[in-house]
Amino acid sequence: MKLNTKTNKNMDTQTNTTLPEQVPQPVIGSNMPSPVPPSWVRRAVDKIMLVFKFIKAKFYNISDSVGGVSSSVTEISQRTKKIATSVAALFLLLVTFAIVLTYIKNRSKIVSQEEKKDDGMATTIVERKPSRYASDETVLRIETDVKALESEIGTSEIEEKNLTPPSLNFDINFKE
Amino acid sequence: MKYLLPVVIVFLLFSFASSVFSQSASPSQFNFDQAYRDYLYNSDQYRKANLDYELYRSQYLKFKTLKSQENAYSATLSLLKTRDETIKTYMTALRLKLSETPGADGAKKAVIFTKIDQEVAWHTAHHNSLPSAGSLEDLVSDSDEAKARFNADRPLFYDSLIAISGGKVAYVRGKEEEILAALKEKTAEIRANGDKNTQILERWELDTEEKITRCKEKEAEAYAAIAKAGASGNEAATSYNQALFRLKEAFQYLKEANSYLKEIVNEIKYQD
Repeated sequence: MKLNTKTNKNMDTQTNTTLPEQVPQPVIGSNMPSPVPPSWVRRAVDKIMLVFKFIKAKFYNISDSVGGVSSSVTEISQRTKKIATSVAALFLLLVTFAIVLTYIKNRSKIVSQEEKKDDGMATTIVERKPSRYASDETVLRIETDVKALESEIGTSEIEEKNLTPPSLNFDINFKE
Repeated sequence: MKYLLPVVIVFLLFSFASSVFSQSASPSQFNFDQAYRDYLYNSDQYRKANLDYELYRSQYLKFKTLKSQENAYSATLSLLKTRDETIKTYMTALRLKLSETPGADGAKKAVIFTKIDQEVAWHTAHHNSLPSAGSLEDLVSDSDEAKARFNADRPLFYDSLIAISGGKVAYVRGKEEEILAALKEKTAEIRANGDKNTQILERWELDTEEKITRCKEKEAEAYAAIAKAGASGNEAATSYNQALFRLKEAFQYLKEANSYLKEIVNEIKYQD
């Protein structure tokens, strides 16, 4: 064992000699100040501890016996057990119900949004199949006429603004 | 290769001949655009003459010299001549515009043309008689004659303008009536074939027909308004504005009717 430790020591020295530039390793927790919890946390922890102690005192009786410390669980009545169980079950039921309710609500919202989107799509994209008159010669001629008339209407002006009667001077006299 | 030169020569001859004929045909066409350019030119000349008249008139009234009187006479004569020319070219442009407007009522056109021709002839005669005026008083008297004539002509001008605007409305209405008749015929054919429900088409055709009927009513109101035009210039202008407003309403009905026609055609092109 001693030999081993020696060899280890030698190895350590060797490594120290072969690697002069050691990479500085961060030393955790050596010089850092220990974090002090705030006062309210400490108070809360104290209170919780107090509650635990109280519960412990309620359910456990610490009695010194001969040769050591022995603990014995106090008897809990059947009625208390039932109440505790039923309260726990009710609480669990309420939590489950709340989760289910939230899920259903979210689900219905998503569904209604999807339905709205679907409605919008249905109004914008309406695919209609062309009838047998889509390529009818008369219908096409009428369509051309309507389009030509539309452009004619768009460009024509009803009022002839250029041809309003000229404003002329008829007040010719040589009186002061 | 030996035929190439004669072919090129013949081709060049034909192209030269066609260009010569096309050039000789155009000057003979006196249309509204040309008449309107004449009117604008004469209006410009008139404005310059009016400025000169105002200048020499004020000089004459100030100095009362023979020289200033002579200058005032020349300026006034020039003003009266250019004014006559402006009125003549205006009426000619009006006549040609009415002549070129499709849809204008033929009988109405004939009446207006006769009146315009008479007035143009009067102003030509007036223009020719002006140099015979010996004094400034004579020129003033000639000017007053032209003034009375021009004021009397105002209802004719507005009547012509309404005939032009009404012609445009009637032209579009006529086209729409033709298209509607063709669509009705096609709808009847589709109904007989029984491969498409024509109830919607027939209902839309009735709606379009109603728009055209409303347009006709507005046209009638416009012509009634212009017929009430009195002899005075202000009354004629008021009647003209009322008539024009009715025609604009009529044209709006035609625009709506045309969009209906477009929808009917689209409906025919697709299955139920």
